[in-house]
Amino acid sequence: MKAHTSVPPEAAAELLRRHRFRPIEALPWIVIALVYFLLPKSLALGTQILIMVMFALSLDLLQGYAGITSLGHAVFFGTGAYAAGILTIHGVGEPLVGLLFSLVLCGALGLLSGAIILRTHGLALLMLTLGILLMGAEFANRAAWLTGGADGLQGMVVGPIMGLIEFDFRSRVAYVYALAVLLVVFVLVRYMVYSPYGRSLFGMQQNINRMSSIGAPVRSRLVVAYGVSAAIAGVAGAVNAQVNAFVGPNVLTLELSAGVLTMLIFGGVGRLYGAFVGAAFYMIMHDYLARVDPTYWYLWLGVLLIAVVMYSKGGILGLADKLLAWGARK
Amino acid sequence: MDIILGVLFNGLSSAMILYVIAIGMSLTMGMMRFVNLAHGSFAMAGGYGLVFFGEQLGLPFWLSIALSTLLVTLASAVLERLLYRRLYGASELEQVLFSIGLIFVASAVARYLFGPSTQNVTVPDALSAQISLGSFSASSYRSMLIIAGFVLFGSMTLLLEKTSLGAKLRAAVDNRRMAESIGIRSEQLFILTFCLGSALAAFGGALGAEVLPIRPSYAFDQLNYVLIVVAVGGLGTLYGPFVAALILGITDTACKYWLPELGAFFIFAAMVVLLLWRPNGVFSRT
Amino acid sequence: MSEVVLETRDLNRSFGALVVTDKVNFTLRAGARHALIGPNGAGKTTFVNLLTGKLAPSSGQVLMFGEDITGLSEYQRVKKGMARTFQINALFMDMTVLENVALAVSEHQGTAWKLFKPLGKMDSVIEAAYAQLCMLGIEAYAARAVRELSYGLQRLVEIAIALSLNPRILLLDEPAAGVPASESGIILSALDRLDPSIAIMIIEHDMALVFRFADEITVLERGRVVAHGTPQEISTNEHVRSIYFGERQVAHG
Repeated sequence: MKAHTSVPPEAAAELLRRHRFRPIEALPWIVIALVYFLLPKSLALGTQILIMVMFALSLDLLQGYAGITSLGHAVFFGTGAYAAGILTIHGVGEPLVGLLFSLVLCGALGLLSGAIILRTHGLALLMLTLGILLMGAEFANRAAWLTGGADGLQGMVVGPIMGLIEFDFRSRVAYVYALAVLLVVFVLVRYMVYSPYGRSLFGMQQNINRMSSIGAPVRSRLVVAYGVSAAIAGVAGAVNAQVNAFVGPNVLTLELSAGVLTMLIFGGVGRLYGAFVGAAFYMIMHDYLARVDPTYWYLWLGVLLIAVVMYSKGGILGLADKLLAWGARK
Repeated sequence: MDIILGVLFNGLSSAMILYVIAIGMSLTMGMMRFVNLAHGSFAMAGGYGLVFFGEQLGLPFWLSIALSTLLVTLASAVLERLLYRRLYGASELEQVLFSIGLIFVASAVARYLFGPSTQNVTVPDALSAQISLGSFSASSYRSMLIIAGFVLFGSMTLLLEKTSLGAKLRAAVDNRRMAESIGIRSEQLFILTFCLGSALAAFGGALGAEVLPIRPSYAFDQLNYVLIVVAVGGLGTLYGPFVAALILGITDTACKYWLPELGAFFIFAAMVVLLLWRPNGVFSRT
Repeated sequence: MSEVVLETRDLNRSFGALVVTDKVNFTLRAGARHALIGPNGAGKTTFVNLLTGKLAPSSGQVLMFGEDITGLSEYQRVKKGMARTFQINALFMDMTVLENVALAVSEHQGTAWKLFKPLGKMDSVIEAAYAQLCMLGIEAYAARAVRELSYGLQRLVEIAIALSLNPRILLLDEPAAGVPASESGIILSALDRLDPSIAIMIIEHDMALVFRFADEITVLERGRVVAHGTPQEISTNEHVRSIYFGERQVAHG
């Protein structure tokens, strides 16, 4: 290890090393790449999983790091989706432009709504996040002239990426597109969580009094987190709209917000890869069980949720940690 | 004028049913600081209980409601012992997801036992009639709902203000540690409050079966409105949920009638504004 | 007389009909060792919260280096050079001791807002944090999670965090509170070694500590200042003896 600091290595080892890329981190990406080659018929589902991973990552920034529970995060996903979709209807079909548009729009909305509602906490904050989602959903349902109402956005024409690459019917381009966007988003989020800003977010979750007592402008940091999280959710929504060439009101539901929270707790909250594991687990289970019997999807989802909350709060990654620790002791 | 009366009347009856269901949630959330989104599932169970006892077994209306309420209350006591108790200190996220999980399970069970469609409930003839008050004719069913709501509000006021149980409840909601230090046993109080809340929910679900349709998605259908009443009314306050329910019920009915293009948007926007103005509920002291 | 670094003028705070801070005029000078004592419920911690900005006064002013800071928020006052410790440890329990201090250092150095540079690469932050731990003699615990430490050691981390902000004003809220007798020595020696140029106000119930540490004492009762002076003057003050020491003997006369 480089001795670029006078601090003895055993004192600062964790701090100095943890942001470095570890070999095991390549695993999810290898799996994602293998899916492309080995499971060509599942690429549509695979693309949805990648989109949900992005969405879950954005929520984890809020939930796992800043410690803010939101029931309404779907409002940014949905706004990003509708924004990108409406853009294509008005002639701008190039997806990267749509991504940028959704990013900026949702980021701005996130900053604005965060600044307003983050004065509150507890039940009031929870309800405010839900209230904003409900307002957005109702608006999307009513403003049929803009959103197509309950039928969804009709007539989306998603142009070739950078004018060169057309989306194909077997979801191959969609998969790689979603993967590329996810990669960029992930790298950014990964840097953020190890930065002083990211650690200060975690500090706020640990002890908010202490944070303001060391001179941190707590509220503005939280608002920034809310804005960044909203922007990423918006990008995920935009990708969703673009690869499906459709946006319907189901992107603005409490069910979606609850679903992405569920993905996080299944995978492990506050750990970057929890989003990967949780989203994959949830979506695959959903795909399998919904085909077998839609009723029982809800039953098993409910039972699993209760079980995870009561016995395995760290989710799958938490369980994996415990297994490793147990194995190491043997 | 008739139309205004009609809107007021319908709004009032919707409000009363909302109140009956929401007051239990407000009590339990205020007491146990537990975000129990599954409260609506107890109301749903009350409604399905009425269907079982009244429609399937053919028992009289009021007896069915009583039996249904009793059954759901017992079930809630069991659930509190087995599950809820373990999560009282848990994080908000855990409580939210737990209660959502419970809603899913309850909904799936309802669907399995009763099928996916909305249940039919036969009310006794006395309640199917229309009462005429001058030029305005009111459904006696809805009149009953309004009366029930006011009676319940009166009873809750009596309970909370005049009985020692009510005093203990209020103390524990206000400041639990202090209450415990003067000998109030919170464990017993919790299970009592929880059962009271579930009983009220079940009663409301059964009573309001004609107005709030009994189907597997009941808990999610009503969740938004019940939550709004609870949040805007303030946790564990006496008048808060009642007034919030009144405002919500009447405004929602009025909007749906006169401004259908807006739909529920106005209600949600109003909630956001009210919560920003008074985060602890419109009647809270802080 | 050295410069006045912190003062309050007619500071009032009430909650409805309950007055918790009653026309308090308080002065803290550079290099001071000023103790604030009083019976439980006298409003000492409330007063500290008013000084730091966690609580807004109902009326009156707080001045820092002669400038009115009554309208400033908590973090703004910290930036101006005020730091505090809490009566009950307010630490980042799941972070290491080093990182707890490093977060404070990065706030102080103005680099905490950085979104994309890993904290682990910020050498100046890490070195300053480690140096701070050395000054308090707890560098051996740098890599341990705070949760694993004994309460007394955690109390030292609490002090280390406050010191790493290079404050000119330090408010210590019962630094020895909750520390078992076996560990209180380390707290005391840490307090002894504090930089003499820092103005320190300390709330304490431990009279031995107060009389050893302070050269000036203010007594608060029911939110009001009832006595002020040197330790000698306070220990012989009749009113103070009656309301605070009561029938028990005074620890130091």
